[in-house]
Amino acid sequence: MSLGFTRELTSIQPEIVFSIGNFGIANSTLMILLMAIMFLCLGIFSIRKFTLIPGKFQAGFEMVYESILGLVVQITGNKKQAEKIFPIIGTILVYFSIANVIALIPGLTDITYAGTAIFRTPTSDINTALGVSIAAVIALNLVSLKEWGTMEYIGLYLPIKNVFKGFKKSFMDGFVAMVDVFVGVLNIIGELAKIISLSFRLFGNVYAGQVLAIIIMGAFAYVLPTIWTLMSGFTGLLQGMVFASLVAVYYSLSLKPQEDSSE
Amino acid sequence: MEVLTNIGFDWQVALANFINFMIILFIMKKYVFGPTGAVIKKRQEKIQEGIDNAKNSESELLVAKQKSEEELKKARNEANQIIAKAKENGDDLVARAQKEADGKVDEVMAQAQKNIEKQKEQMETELLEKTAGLVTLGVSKILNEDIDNTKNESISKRALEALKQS
Repeated sequence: MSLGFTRELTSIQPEIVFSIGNFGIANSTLMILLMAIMFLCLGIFSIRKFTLIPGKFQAGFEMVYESILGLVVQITGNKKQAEKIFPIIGTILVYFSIANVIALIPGLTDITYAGTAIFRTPTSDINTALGVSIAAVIALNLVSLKEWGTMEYIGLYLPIKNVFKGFKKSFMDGFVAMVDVFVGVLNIIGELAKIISLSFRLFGNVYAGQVLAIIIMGAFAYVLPTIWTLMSGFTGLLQGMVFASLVAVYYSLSLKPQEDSSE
Repeated sequence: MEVLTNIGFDWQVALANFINFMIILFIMKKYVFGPTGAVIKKRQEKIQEGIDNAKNSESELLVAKQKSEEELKKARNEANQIIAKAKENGDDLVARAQKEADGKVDEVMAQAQKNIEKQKEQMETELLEKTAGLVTLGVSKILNEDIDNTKNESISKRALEALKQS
């Protein structure tokens, strides 16, 4: 005999709460909107009042800010570049860290509308991870385009100019340049692979964690669910950090190599 | 695509979540990270300013100390020079005064000598006159005769001349 309670497994499909015309609004979208409102409130009602002499909350928040910045500096190896991409990396980290743990607020995911939960852990929906991954890869390519210039940026993926130059020199050089073209095509595929790897890694981890949580909560009513919930929170933060770190690494790889290091 | 649909891909939801993420990115940049970064930067600038000011004050203090020492040295030199000059002037003045006093003393002495000589001469003359008178008186007594004024004068004159010659 085992003690426990039954709970429905979160659907892998997006759960549409209502539709605006033909456009379905999923519960993960609503949760992200709730988070956006929370961030906006935090910014307007608290961060706007930050002063030069910090209080406890400000000191804590600044510590988090500087830790994230330090992480980005460590990954990119350059403070100036780190400051450039900090908003996107910081947002991804905070966004996923909160998104992964917000559903732990008791009762939040139990509010329903027409039999469908209004809120759901956003990252347990593949569409959230995909949306953010696409945004991150687009941002990275825009930064890369700005860094290299249009022609050089195109040359990274399709170095056709080098083929002509190579064949003008010698057949061997031309052949090597052809290999570079194939490598360029692989780079394009690599960009798509980045989107897939980033989103699937996150989605897989978070969804698997939720499935495991349901199983554990179904089997044990006491002690273990608490430990598992705490661990879920930790894993959620970790996943956010992994995602943000990977984006920062992709960013530093897309930049021109520089002599200057962390200053 | 079928694999994606099987794991819940829906382009509408993906688009909505993408837009929502962009909204969150905007909010975080404008209202969260922006102001926090600005406060931290401002504080760092203020701290740096304080450190710079302290460093400047230290160097200014050092410069002021050096300057004051130089001024003191200069003032001491000037004072010494003034004292030396004053002493020189004083010595000059004393020497001049001494010289003047010496001159005056000589002058006074000469004048006194002159006066003495004059008085001596006068006294001699007077003495001779009186002696001549006495001679005349003696002569008249010896001769027992009255000598009138004219005779008296001539005898006196002769006696005086005789005395002068002697």
